[in-house]
Amino acid sequence: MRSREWARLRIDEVLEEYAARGVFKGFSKAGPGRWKMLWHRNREFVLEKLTDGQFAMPVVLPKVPARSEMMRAYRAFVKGLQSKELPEHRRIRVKLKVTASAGNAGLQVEPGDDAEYAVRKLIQAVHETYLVFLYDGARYDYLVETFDLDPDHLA
Amino acid sequence: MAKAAGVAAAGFVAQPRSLMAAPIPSIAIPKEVPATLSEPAKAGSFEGKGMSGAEVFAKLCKEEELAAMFCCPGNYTVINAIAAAGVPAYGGRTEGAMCAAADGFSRVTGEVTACSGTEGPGFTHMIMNIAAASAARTPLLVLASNMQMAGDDREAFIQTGYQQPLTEGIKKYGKRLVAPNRVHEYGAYAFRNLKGGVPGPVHLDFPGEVARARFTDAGSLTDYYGKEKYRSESRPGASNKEVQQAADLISKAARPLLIAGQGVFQRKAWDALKLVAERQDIAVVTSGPTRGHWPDDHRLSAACSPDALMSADLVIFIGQYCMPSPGEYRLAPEVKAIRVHPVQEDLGRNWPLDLGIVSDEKIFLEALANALPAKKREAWVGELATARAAFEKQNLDHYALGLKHSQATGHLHPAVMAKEVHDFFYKGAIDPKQTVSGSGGWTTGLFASRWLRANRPGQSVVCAYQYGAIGPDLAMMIGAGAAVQRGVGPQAPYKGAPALVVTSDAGVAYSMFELDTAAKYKIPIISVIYNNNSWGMWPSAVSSARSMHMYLFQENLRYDKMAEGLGARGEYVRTVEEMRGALQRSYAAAAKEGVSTLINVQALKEFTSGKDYPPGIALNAEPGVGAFAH
Repeated sequence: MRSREWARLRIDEVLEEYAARGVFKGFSKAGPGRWKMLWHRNREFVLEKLTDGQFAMPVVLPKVPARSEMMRAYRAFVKGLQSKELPEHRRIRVKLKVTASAGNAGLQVEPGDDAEYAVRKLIQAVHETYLVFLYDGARYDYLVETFDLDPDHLA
Repeated sequence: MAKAAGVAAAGFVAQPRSLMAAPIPSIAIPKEVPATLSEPAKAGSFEGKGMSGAEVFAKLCKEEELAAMFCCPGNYTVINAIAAAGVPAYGGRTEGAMCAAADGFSRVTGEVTACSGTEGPGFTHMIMNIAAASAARTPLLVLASNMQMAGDDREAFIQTGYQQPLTEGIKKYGKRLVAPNRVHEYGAYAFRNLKGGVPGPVHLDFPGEVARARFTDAGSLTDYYGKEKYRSESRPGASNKEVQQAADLISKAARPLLIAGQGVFQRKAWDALKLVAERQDIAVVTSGPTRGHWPDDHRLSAACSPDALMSADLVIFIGQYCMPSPGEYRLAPEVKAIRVHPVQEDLGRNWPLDLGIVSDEKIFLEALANALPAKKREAWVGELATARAAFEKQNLDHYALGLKHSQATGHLHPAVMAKEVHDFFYKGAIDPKQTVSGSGGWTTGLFASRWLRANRPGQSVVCAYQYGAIGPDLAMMIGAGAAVQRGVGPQAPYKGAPALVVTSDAGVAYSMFELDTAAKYKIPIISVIYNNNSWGMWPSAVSSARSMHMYLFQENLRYDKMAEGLGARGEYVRTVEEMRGALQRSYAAAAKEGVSTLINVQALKEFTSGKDYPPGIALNAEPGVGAFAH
């Protein structure tokens, strides 16, 4: 098992690597175990390392009520990312769950013994949320209402 | 059932009682049209009165094999000279639409085309479509007259305006010609820019002193020599080391994806692309304003496999002139990237690179084909096939839902319209490689593009590409249809075949009058108009007070009747059966008589709603069949 210090430094590097790849439009470290990134739809996302060692992004999709159809659909989507039916290179093999807090949908991942892998898969899950999940016709009204979607404001 | 053009037009004309008995004349093409089109070319000469500045420029255009010119009268001296020199010329109803037509002609051939308008009003009418051509990197020569230098700063007579500042940011090169004896020199400037590097619009404006200047010998013209002297066909090529670096990265990748942009089409590099992709089972998807330089029906195509895009571990952008940023393409956040581009300054813009190579697309692909060892990637090819099957199943599921909604409401759902078009042009008696198509509109474009196919170079146009203009679609496809009619470049095997456009009621308003132009030149267009009585973005007004009225049209407008009034056929459909019949009749009229048709597909705006009419409207993955941004 790798040391906590090593894991912390490695997470910094991993996230900086995404920023250098242009995945994040902006990136900064916001304190111990807390990172901010400007990402999809020019929104700020916050990644936190929780006291129990889990990594969490509390707001992945804003304005999604806990008991809504959309939350149910999102849970199913995230579960699908961990499905054994997916090709091995696409499957998320850590425990990743959807959280509902303050009217938002978030993601939380248990790192197991490989924090780098867990964080990378969390990033992948958010990425697929915005590039796959929200592209379903059932999400169109949500896009319009939540992100002021119009043809002038797609990216 | 449609009535013959002219007969239906009678309904539009209120006649005085005294004329009621007189037959209403049919719509007819003036005899001067075929007569003047069949006249031999008559280029200017230094003999006698000499050549005008316009004729000197026209001669250069002819020698540069300018493929076509689309215009409205105005800039008379120049357009007349270009037509007389033997460049195929088309006169239409609005300068803006003619600009779009020139763009469409170029998008399906890769050739340089021209548009022209008069002074201020005609020129400014073209602006939207010059911008669309700029976003698409179309080699478009924008010509306009511009009064006389003698009247500069005096607001002399009418139509005075400074043109060049208005095309700032939407052209590659521009110049107001102010020295009459440099007209040839600046023509050379224009074609160096149109035919070199990354193409884009070139805007020349001609004051009267230049267009009407007379030259009785070549001695007074600056730089009056041939194209072999004033520009070069030399292109940048990658070094052996760079090619090997690319080959190594590709060979090491498990699931490489090659994104073949407009540059591959522009440089006619599709054969080299095929060699490369098939050598190592590399997935390919096209991007840009034209589709088909990699066929959708190829086993390595990822165009209809959106679920597989995120699996790629290496992306190779070749000829992607308009670069997306990560997050705009459905690619994994960890994907490595190679970009091959003819201009060094653009490498690394928007998308950070693992390897950037300055090279002409064709030169690079030919070199890469020699450097790549053969390799099979059965798992990757299998994943593409699985994703393709999933996409097709999703389309069929949408169709099934749409059919249910259509039957329940008596109005045609866009998924049903799109599939019926698909089945007619790709699954029936027509060669699926034949029909050039384009689509536009918001709701319409998002649905139709999932079903339109491009199985050979230049077969499909992404009308709204990058600039997102709603409206040029019909005119753009009339231009594309003109290219097919003449059998230019990749359209040669399908010379004379009808062209297809699927667009919206909002969009068609911008260029429907060009059905007159299509009729005049016998360019057969089948235009399918999805009529949902509204602008596609009407949902954005739902929660805003006093706003919805701005998004709505009168309901049940009869675009088919308007088309009949313009000399085309009209069809009105609300059911699957009516749609099938309309497509059959429209195609027969187009193929046998060169007659265009507008099919008015009556729909409901509410079909957009995912809550009331699932699947609702979905955004399409990019890159792929539904892409229009990059």
